[in-house]
Amino acid sequence: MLEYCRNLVVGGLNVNINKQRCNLQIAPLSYPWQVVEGDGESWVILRCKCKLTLKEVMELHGATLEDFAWKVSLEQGENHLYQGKIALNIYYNSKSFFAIDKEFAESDEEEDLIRTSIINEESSKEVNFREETEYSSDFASIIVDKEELTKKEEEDFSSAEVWNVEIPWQAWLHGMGQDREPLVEKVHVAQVGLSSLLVEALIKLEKKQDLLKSSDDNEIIFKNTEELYFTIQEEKIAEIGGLHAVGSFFTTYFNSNKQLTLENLKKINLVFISDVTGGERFWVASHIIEEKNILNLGENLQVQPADFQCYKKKLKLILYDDHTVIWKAEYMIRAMFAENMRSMNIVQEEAPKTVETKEPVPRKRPGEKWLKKGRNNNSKTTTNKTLISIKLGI
Amino acid sequence: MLWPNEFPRSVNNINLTRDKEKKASLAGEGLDPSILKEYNITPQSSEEFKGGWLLKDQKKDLWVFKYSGDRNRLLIALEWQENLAKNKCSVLKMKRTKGDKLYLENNKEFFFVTEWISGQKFEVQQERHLLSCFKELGKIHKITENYSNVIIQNTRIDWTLIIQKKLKDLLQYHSFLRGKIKFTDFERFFMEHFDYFYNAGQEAVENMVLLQVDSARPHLLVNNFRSTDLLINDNKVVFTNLLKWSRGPKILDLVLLLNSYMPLLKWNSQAFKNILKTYKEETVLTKQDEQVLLALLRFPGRFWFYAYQYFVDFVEEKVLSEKFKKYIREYYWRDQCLNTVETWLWEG
Repeated sequence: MLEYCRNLVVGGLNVNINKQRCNLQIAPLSYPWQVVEGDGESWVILRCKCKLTLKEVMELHGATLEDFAWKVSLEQGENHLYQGKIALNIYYNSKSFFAIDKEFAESDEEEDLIRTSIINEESSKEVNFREETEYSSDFASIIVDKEELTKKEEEDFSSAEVWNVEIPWQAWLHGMGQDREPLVEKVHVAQVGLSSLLVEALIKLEKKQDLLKSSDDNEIIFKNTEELYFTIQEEKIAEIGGLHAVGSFFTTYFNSNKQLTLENLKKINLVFISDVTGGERFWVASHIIEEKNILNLGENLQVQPADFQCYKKKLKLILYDDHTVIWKAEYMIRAMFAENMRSMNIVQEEAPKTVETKEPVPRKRPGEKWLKKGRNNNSKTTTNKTLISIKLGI
Repeated sequence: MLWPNEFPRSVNNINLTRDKEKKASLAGEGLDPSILKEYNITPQSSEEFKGGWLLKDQKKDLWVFKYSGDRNRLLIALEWQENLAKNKCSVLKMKRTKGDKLYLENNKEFFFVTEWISGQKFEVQQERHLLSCFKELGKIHKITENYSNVIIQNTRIDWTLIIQKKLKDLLQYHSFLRGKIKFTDFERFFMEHFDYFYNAGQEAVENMVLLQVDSARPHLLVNNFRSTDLLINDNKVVFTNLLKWSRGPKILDLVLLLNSYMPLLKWNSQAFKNILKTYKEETVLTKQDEQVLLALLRFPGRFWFYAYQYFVDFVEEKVLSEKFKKYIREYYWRDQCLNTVETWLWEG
């Protein structure tokens, strides 16, 4: 469960809005990718497992980055689709089951119990199965930071076996600002069974976002400082990867106090590293909140803003304790109107066009065809009429 | 029914040791004297022993056993044991009461008396102990084939169905775990090896069906090879407790005995072959029996048992994880051994 408490500062006044406990969902794990795309930031978690045949993993040594290639394959305005591939070398030691010189235990008592259980037809029908609440593990787990990934200490890994992993990936990077280069933030290598290995890679895509300085009348800017407290009860957090949000379903209306109110949904994604070993450690916890902001745009607005753009500047993202994260950021919301958007060449207005129409084909009068035969052939041209006026004397 | 695992103070030599400093009650603490009277026993000393009393009189050692289970089960066991003893099988000889009964009932408890013989503790690391065990078991099986018991013949256990139900349990556990995000170490071991063990179990059940395991006349089974219930006397294994008997194909006794002690020998295929040869010297083992034996040995009974203990009995996870790891390693040794033995059997 992720719960948060929010303090909102608007125009110098402290306004507590939406202070509530929220039940969060730990996002389901996904193989081979788990992607969270936010505004200005995207995270890609890549995962791969392998099981050794007839061997037991004895020791884990670490991982190195063999290759990390990427490209921007699609652009839609400020939104970019990144595609790439990551190649890792995982170093470990294993031993054949038949080479392990371990004594097996005496089994007579246990076999006797098993035989009795089978005969007594003990069964699991209609029984509530055990559910653990505390998780701990004896499996080895190593997290390699980005600085260590490119180091190749040959003497440490010379006697080790190698597992080569190549995983393709793809993610959108949305939002305003300049793209930073994608980075492999961390790699996690773990033993997850007697003979099984797991590798996870955490890739970050980010835009460099600054708060706007424009004071154009047509770009109404609303500034907001947000401080949120997140608590995750089910997991022990070792380290935070990142936090980002995506806003959508914007609605504006005048409330009973004639204040322009902006309502929207915002999905918050927290990428973090679990302290519990034995399995996957790169997790995502998400929550959707409802936001409500009062925009000081006056009472006489004739139409609502056509669109909104959000900018954020992270001020603080810290791990307070094993289960609590504090997030503080400055937000800027730019309300954009149609005229403003036109001047931004979002839609080019076309000059009014003159419509040319052709004159219709002159239509002959009824019987004209036959009448023309008995007359002067020069009647093609328009008829010359001679007006004769007769003055009558009285 | 609880089976105490205790030996008297002297573990290697199971003679009753007289503690001269301790005054032992002639009747034995908690033992009703009327029972001794019915058996015409006048012990010189007694001591509590293995859920009963070990009595010493002028001629021999006697073991008075207290039983709190089903009367019919007791009667079947004692009659069978008496028959085996008469046919010189390695079991303890029964002593009848003055009224020629095999047991006495007293306050809803049953008492019976057997002779007790001194001997050594059964040690599987000594190959001759293990070979003797199979040899004597072969003799018991041979005598038992001609031993008829109406109750046994009229009631059957459907072993194929029983074992198939264990596979169904495994599927339930697997289905439960598939809905989870986080796992304990034990659950990861289970998921990691589920396919392998489940397929082995499925194959075993299919072979049992094809070989019609349950259609044969049911056999009385010893069904108890705990080292605390075996002793070595004059280089022969003696089966001291037949009360856990069951019924079914005699192969089930071989399966239980092999599963109990072959892990300690790291499933050595040569030892396995010697065991089969020794057993076959005493009784017949058909080709079909051999196929059933291999099929049942491949069934991952312990995989099911640990999973049951984990999901249903809530045994401590760390303890089970360690056991499970050892079992997984042992199973690969077992597989290798059975493959070798199977080839050897096929080659005749």
